[in-house]
Amino acid sequence: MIRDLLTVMAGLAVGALSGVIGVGGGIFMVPIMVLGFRLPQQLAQGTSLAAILPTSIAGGASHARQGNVLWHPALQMATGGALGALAGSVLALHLPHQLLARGFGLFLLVSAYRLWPRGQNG
Amino acid sequence: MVPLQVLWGRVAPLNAAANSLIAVISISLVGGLLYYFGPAGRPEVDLRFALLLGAGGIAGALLGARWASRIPERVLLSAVALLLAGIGFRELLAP
Repeated sequence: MIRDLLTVMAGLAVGALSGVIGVGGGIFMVPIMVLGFRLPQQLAQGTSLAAILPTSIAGGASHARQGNVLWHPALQMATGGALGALAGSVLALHLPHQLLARGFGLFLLVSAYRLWPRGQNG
Repeated sequence: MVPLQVLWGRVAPLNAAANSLIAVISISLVGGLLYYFGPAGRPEVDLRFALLLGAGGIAGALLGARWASRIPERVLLSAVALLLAGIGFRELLAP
């Protein structure tokens, strides 16, 4: 029960962060599951993908209703993304979990660098 | 995906965000199915966990969209970048 509540709260925090800064939820969800809930890296990554699906469907449908989707490029990206997800998932599922975790850590460091605000704006 | 569309494709940010969500549907569906039915020999998806996270995530996204204009962007980005850097070092050094 407590674990379920903590899980929903984790989702709430991730969703709020994503809503505020526009960064995808997986970048936060996976570390929360691995470090906070002690899930193995592959399980956390797979679960994150499943958790993102309903949110993206809801958001995508909302945007589609409002006429914000440019369908030609969107479907091109969806096709490319699917192929990338296929290759990436197969690779990730064959890697030792420690190597995968270190790779994800490196990705987080690069993301942190890219997110760091620069310039005088803000 | 959004910055690439805005900078290279000269797509308006709102359209870029909308397009990205459509692409993420495809990515998360294909990836999720592979992690569930794929080569690992066992499902690498905790469906219950995903459902609870997703439910919280939808509610959080609605709240976040409301709060977005109230928090200085520099402050938020700095805090998030530091958090990600800390977690990144942790995973890199002690996976």
